[in-house]
Amino acid sequence: MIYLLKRDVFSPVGLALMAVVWAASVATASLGYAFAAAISAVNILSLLVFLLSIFVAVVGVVNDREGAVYFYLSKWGRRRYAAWRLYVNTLYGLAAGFASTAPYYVLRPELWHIAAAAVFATALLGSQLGTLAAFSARGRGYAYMSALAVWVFLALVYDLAVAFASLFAPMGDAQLFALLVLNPFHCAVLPSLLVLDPHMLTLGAAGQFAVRQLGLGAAALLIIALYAIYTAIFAYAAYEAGRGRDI
Amino acid sequence: MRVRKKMRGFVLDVEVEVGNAVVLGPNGSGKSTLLKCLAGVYLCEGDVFDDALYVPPVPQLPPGTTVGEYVRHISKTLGVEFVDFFDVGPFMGKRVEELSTGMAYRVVLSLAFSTDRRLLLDEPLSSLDARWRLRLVELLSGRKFIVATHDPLPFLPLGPDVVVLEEGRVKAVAKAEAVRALYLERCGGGLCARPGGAVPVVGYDISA
Repeated sequence: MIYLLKRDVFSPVGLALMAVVWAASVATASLGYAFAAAISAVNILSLLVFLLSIFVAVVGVVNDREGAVYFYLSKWGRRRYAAWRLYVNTLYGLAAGFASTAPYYVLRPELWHIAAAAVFATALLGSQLGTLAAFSARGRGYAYMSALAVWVFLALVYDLAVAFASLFAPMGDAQLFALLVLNPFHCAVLPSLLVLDPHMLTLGAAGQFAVRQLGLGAAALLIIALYAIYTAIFAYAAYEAGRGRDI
Repeated sequence: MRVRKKMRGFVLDVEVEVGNAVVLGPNGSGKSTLLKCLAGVYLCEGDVFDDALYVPPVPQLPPGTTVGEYVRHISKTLGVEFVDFFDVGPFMGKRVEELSTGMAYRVVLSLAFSTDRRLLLDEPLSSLDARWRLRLVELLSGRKFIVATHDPLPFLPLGPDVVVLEEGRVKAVAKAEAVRALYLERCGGGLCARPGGAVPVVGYDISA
């Protein structure tokens, strides 16, 4: 396991991303613990840890393909290899996420549990998506590109696309809330944000709809349930991609 | 062994009863695909050897670590004791990026021979010099193996079956003795050596 940690997490890509997250942790912690600062910190750390965990997973799979996977397949077969790789990627994604956001927990101990919950949820989701992207790609380049595309779409483009679409096709509050929770990345971050923002003010009309129609508890439960479903689906899809595709 | 694999523009359809074997055929005939199917690297219809280890023609070692770390990890994963069959000890401390193709291949071969697996060697001679080619053949003696190659001669003393593939299908099957006899008959024992030193592989008409 130490060998894989060195090879995959402390790879050039992994180290570069961890350095970025580390710097962002210090920067966001220095903003203070006011409402806006805490919300920003959770959002920024989640975005970056999501990217980090996706790439750590991709590096693990593509490095396996260079000199190791034939031995693994010979020993374990496809099913066990796919399950093992998913487990290791999840473990390393979480470890890298927590290690690189450590400065935030130390500098803002009053908010550490909120940030840690968001980091856990996004790293878990990112590990599954990264493993899926890497198993589905034929080569190293394609794996990195598809992983980056997944992150850009879910973390950056999705909200812009929804906002842009709403200009041409005005949507009701219910539709906006549905589109919000359709994005698995949002479902990973929202439960943590709900602790800071129990009335969902930062979500605008969609948040008001959720609180008014569902109530805070039900809305939170719905979001957490959707997050669990998304993560399970991606984990299963990653396992199937590892088990059922040519290597 | 029975294997069927449909790929874009190519179908591999092989059904043949052989033990240890040397698989011949022109580029694109399906030799590597056959080995990958048998090892479970590709998903195919037909047989998958549970005890097989596929060794690719161009070795790649995972970047970012030393040879020693890589060897220890794979040995531990496989639960075997590493035996330095190809004299790789001197470069165990090197980073894998520093190795030449031949050196990397010797590392992979040493690991492969440290196991008791049935070895599926894909073009094993292409990265080795004469000394290590002989060593490879020597080590294959008494083991289960299937070799895909363009140069069957070094393996004939091991007495394998010889399978000739063409466009994904078996064109001919022969015993090693028959192929050797054919060489002797056609080349007079000179192994068809040419002035330039090139040694052509046996013609694909050995069933004739």
